[in-house]
Amino acid sequence: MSVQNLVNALDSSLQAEIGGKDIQIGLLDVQERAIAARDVDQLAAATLDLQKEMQREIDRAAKRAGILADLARALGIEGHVRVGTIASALGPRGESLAIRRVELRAKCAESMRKTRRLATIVRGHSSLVEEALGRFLSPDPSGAPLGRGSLVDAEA
Amino acid sequence: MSGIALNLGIEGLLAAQTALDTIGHNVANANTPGYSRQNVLLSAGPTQRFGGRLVGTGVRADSIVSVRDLLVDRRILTQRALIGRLEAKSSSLSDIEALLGEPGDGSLSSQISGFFTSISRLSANPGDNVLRQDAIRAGVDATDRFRSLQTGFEKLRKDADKRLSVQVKQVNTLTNDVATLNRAIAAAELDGSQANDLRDSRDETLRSLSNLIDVSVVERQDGTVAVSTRGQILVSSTRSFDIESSVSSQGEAILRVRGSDQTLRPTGGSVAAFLEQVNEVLPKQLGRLDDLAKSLIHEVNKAHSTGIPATGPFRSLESTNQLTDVNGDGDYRDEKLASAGLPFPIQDGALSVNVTDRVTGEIQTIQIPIDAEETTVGQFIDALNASPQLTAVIEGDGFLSLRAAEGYGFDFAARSFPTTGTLGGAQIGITDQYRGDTAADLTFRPRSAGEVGETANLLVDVFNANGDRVSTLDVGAGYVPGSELDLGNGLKASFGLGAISNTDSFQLHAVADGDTADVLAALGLNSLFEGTGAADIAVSARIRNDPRLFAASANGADGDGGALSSILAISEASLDGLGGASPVQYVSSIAADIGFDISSSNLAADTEKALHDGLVAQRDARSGVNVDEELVNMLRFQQAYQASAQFIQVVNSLNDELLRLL
Repeated sequence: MSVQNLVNALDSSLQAEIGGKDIQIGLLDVQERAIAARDVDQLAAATLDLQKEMQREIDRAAKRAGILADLARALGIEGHVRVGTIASALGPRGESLAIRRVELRAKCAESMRKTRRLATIVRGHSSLVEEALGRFLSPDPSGAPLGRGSLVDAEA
Repeated sequence: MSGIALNLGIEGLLAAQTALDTIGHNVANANTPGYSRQNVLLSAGPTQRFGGRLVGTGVRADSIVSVRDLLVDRRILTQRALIGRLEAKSSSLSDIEALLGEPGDGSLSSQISGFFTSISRLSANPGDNVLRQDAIRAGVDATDRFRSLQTGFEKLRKDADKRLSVQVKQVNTLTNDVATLNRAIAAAELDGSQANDLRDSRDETLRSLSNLIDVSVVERQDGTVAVSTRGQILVSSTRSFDIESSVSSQGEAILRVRGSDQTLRPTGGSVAAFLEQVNEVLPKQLGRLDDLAKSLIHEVNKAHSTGIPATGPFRSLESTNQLTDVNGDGDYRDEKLASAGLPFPIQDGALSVNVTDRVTGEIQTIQIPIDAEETTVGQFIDALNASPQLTAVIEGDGFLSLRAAEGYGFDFAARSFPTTGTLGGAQIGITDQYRGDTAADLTFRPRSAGEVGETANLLVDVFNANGDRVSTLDVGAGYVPGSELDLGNGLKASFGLGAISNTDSFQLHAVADGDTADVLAALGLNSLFEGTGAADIAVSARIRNDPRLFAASANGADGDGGALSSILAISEASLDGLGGASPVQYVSSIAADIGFDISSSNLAADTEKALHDGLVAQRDARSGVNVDEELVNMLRFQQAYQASAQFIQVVNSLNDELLRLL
């Protein structure tokens, strides 16, 4: 495969990754909304979709690693190969790669912001549920959660 | 039997009536902040044995209970404290950002850049009076900006102090309210019923309190709550304990719960944010501003103090920094120079003092060695007075005064000496624009004997202090006596007619810096800037009054801007006092750090709000739930949360990997 073909393949791979990140960010948003709405089914479905998307990202990464290795060989680049290094080595021909690199970095940054936010929310709700379950399922009667003004069984 | 049946009907009606009342109460209070929906807890009535059979007696409203999940409520309080702190922190930092006004016209970075730009313009034409005045004005603008920022920071600190006091008062009012409500609730619930509206008011008060300070709330058997913060009790049943604020001798704001000798350090709520603002954020930013001002004063003065102004060598100079009589014996002379209270450090080195005869132009250079640990003020003064043309005294207030005798002047320029002498029978002259990094002792030694300008291949070797030959000058046949030969590093030598031999020698001391001990900058002698930090930095009054005293030249030659070049170099220099940054980079980093902190606080507040809103929604969705159903839901949620958390980790690691690849 010629260098130009490899560059085109890498460009396509980066574009696919940008699209993948958009899907990932969307799914993180769905998860957050599901938690806020206390919709456990939607949360589970979004998590499953995220799992599938992760698998696709892993597949893309493996394919991209092959393209990068071929490009590095073709351009005589040694050591750890980065898209930035390849784009620099290509000069004006690497301009589109440089643009994709910036776009993808921005998407990664957004995804990381979302995951930090979602992690905080999940942690907060999870620790609450964990404590509540601990109280409910505690064998110690004094640890019972339903003190005055707590959960109410209206159908007792 | 019929009696029982009738009874069943009455019980059912009574229960329904109570439920209707409760619903009405809920509707009426639908828009009341913090109101918790009430629900009728219906329970089976006692069974009665009738004719060998157990017969139910219907349902009855045992009690009206507030529907609230204590766990969720506690989490909500924690979240409010977190959000309160983050929002107050962000707001306080925004005030600092607005004060700095970076980047922008009139900002400190633009004023400092403006000063260096004007120095650059002046260095192209050091004799230009207009450019010199421009440079001084730019210096005045920059130093004014430092002082106005210092004042602004002090004002922000006072404002934060006031806001902290106001918030502490609000905390005290709210804890007092909680104690009052505790009393009312305990009294109302003596008969076993629940004072729901009072409880709602107390919950709302606790929520307001948690915006201000992080609190832990524990409900007691009697219906009262104990409120504490960081382990210190604010409300104990029906009694509240005020928080008192005071200021330590170091100017630090201190909070204590009345009656406690322990310092209170809240970590949540706006009180924590303002406490952090007063004790940490503002002092840190003030410290950074002060470090910058101090570095700028020191570095610029080091460059300026060895310069020579357009008026030529000085007749007199007064130091602007005061010596301190540290041991209080009424005598400054016995103090070590480096520990005599001067605001800038003195290091091992030497001070060159050049005394010029104003009539003949002859220059005598004396070198005063300074040992930072040992040299006393007295020894330094005596060394200056060793020159019969100089008089150095310390005035009663600790300022050093240096005067030249009539017909003489002095300066501290890096002049190599001697600049004239003899090598055998030939005169030797040195033209000094020495640009070496360090001082150098050079020895001129002819390789053979001969007549300057006549003998073929008459060479003069120049050796450094290590005995290495650094240059060879051909002064034999073909050399025009009096013409300059390049020695390198800006030094040039010229030779007159005369005989020289290999037993002759001439010693030259090339001076790179007139004050390697930095004693002039420490004393404030011939300094451009006065002051010791952001609060008092200013262009020297001496130079503001007479711009000709701006020392632009490094050697006194017309058109020389050597001192200006040294000042200009500071603009790009990595300064140790600024952690290796240049002055403008340092200002930018202050602004960037604050911007980053604001952005982080806003993002964190946004996230914590989302969590808070989710908890509020969860609390609101609690009414009338079935316990079993809720347990199943919680188990499902816990599994879903765990799955989500695992995938968040995967997303993060994939992002990390991808970023490494980009």
